[in-house]
Amino acid sequence: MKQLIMKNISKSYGPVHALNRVHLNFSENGIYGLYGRNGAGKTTLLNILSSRIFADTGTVTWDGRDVVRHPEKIAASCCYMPEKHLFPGGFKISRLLSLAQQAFPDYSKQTETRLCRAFHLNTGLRYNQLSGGFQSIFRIVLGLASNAPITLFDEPVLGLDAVSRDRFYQELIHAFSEHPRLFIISTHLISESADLFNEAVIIHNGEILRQAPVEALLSNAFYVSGRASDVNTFLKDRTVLGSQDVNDLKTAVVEGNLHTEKPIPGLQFSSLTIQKLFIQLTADPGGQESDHE
Amino acid sequence: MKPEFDSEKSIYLQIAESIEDDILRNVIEEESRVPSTNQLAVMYRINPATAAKGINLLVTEGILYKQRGIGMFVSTGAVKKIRLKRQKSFDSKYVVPLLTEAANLNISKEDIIMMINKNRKSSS
Repeated sequence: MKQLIMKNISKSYGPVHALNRVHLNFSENGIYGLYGRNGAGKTTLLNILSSRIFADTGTVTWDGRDVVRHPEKIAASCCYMPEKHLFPGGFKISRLLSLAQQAFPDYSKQTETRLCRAFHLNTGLRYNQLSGGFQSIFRIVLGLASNAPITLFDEPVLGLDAVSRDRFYQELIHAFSEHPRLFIISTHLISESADLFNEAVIIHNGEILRQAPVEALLSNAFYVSGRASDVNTFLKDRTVLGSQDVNDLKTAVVEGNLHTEKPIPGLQFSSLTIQKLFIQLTADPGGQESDHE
Repeated sequence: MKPEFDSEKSIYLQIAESIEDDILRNVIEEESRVPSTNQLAVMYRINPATAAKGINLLVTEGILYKQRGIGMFVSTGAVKKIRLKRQKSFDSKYVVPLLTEAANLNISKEDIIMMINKNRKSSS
C-alpha cells in the first residue's frame, strides 16, 4: 500500500506561519476532505504536496521516496487542480486537454469526452472566455480524466450551481470506484461533501486539528442542553468545545461519545453535524454569542 | 431504496435499514439481487467504504449473501429474520418513546388503549 506522507512540514511567508509542523498520512486508495477556514493553510498544504512550492522544513514522501529529491516520481503521478490556475488563458480548452493527455500516462480521452458532454463544457472556447463556474468545470474534467494516482483539487466546486456540484460528487465516486486512487479535496461546503470522504482533515491556523473518518469525529462530541445550572454541573471535569446561553438555558458542545452517556433528568443529549463540529473547533473564542445582547 | 438520508443516524445503518425495508415490503424478493456497493455509492454520492459497511452488516446477519463475481443476493428466510429482529426492538424503538410523549401530554394508559383499538378497527 503506497502512502503520501507529510512529516513535520512548516512553511512561512515572511512573518506569516502558513503551516506549522504538519504531519499527515494519505493512503493510495482514499478520498480525503480538507476543511479549513480562509487562510487556514489548505492551499499551501496542497501546493507543497504537489511540489508546486517547497516547505521550509520537513519532508513529503510518496511510496517512501522524497518528492523533492525525486521530482520525476511526483510529476507523473500527481494531477493538481489549483483554484488559481496557471493555464495560458488564450489557449483553447481542447488544446489544454490534449496537453493534459500528453502529461498523464493514464489519461482517459473517453472520460474527458463523457464529462465535457455531461457538464456542457464547450471545448472550442478559450480558457479566459469561460465563466468562473466553467473554469471550475474544466478543472474537474481534467482532474477526473487524468486518472493520476494522486489527484488534488483545491475548491473544485467553487462557483458551481447545485446541479453541477451534485454531478461532480457523482462522477468523483464513479471515478474512484472504477479506478481507485488518492484524491485530496479542499472545500468550504462541509455538509454536502462529508459523506464522500474516507477521512476528513481539519486544518486551523496552519495546524492539523483532526484527521479521522467523519463518523469517528462525530462520535467524539455531542450537544448537551437544559437549564444552565444543570448543564454547568454536567460540564464539570469535561472538555467543553463551546457553549451558548439564552436567558437561563444553556447548550454546550462536549467531547465524548453520546451513546455511552446515561440519561440525566432535565438534560437533553443530541448529536452534532460535521459542519457544526467544524465551527465549534475553528470559531474565534467567544465569537459566536458576542454582539447580540 | 430511500431517496435521501437524514443526519440523525449513521449512513451505513440507514443503507442497511433501507435494504431491509425493501425486503420486508417485498420490493426486493428473496434470492434476487440487491444493488452493489459501487452502485449504492454512486447513487447516494457516498464513499464506497460506507456503502460496503452497510452491506456487510446484512451479510454478517445472514440477510444477504455474496456470489463471487455476480453480486449480492437476498438470502432465503431473510424476511423472517428481519421480522424477528425488528420484533425484538419494537418495544424500545416505538413503545417507549410513545409512552414518554404520552406522559408529557398527560395521556392515560386507558386513552392510549382506546386509540389503539380505534385505529386497529379502521385499518383492518
